[in-house]
Amino acid sequence: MRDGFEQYRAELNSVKLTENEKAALVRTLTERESARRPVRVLRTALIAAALCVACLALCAAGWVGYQTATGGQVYREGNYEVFSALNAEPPVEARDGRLWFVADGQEVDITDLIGEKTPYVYKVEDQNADYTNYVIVGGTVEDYGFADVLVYSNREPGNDLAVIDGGASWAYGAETAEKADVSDKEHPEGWKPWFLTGMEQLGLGW
Amino acid sequence: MDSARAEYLVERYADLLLRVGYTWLGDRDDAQDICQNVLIKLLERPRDFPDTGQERAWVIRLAVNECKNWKRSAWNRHRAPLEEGAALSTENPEPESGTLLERVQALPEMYREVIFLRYYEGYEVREIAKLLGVPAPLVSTRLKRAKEKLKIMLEGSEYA
Repeated sequence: MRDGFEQYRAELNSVKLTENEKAALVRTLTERESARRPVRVLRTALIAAALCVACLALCAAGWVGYQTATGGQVYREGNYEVFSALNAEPPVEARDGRLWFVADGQEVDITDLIGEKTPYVYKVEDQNADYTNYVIVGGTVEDYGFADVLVYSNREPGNDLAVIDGGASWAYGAETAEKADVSDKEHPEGWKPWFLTGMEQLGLGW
Repeated sequence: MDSARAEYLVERYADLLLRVGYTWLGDRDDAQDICQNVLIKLLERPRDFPDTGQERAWVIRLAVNECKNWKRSAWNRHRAPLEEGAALSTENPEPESGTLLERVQALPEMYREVIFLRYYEGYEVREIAKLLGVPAPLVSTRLKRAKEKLKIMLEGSEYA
């Protein structure tokens, strides 16, 4: 690689704020009340192809059809279902070298219950007729991840799941990030072993 | 609010924070949010450091943590941008396809972060390890693998 990183540095130097943007930033910082930019609905993680993402108006309407254990929300609009992770919070907290499962009002030390291939599976008791909600956690204190799994009772097999994942280590493995855009059942090799084990335990194995 | 301090922080760190955010998140708009959030923290929690190098390292650490928190809160591993998000204009366009920067950005996060810290910021392996909170040998391994992956990606290109 001839002088490769010189070129990288030069190109990255072009990623910068304009003078106008800097001036606006100073103004925003100075006016503390408006310091934070508006929250944007940006991302969602989906498997179910029928789900769509378009929830700004629905959020404004404030109508929530179902809330998952991590705070993800499912809305209905006509024939569409909208899944939003906007208000979702991680169901796991790392404190003093231990991992705690904290979703759905729980406070469980799961440090010794999970591993790279061993999941902690939590089923939400207050179930909705249309959905069943599980949370799967796995990994280690340094490299844990979790998945919020929503199973739709009224869908055809293959189109019945929504999964959002997160954590220090994502359920959909970092080492296969190049495959992250194909996060569907046809590519199980992208998922972490603890997630696949958890899904198998739930009878949702791939 | 001390506008002089805001100006100082923006002038000194805004571009750095934007680049950290861009490197970690791969999106300039997200990076701009990171930039602003970290600057707010710097304003709210000022700290004194014996030298500018340590201050810069602290700022980078704050930015890296902010990026990690951002990813957790946004749950954006498998992401589908909203149409309005995709339509947001940026004064700085994304790098053209095929630039070296874009190829580095195509690497998995764990590789591009060490590339950034080693070859853009110029940190030594032990410093990167401390900054990221991972063992130094792991940093070395990631650097080695990152360069191997880049070498493969760049075969036949003008950067080879």
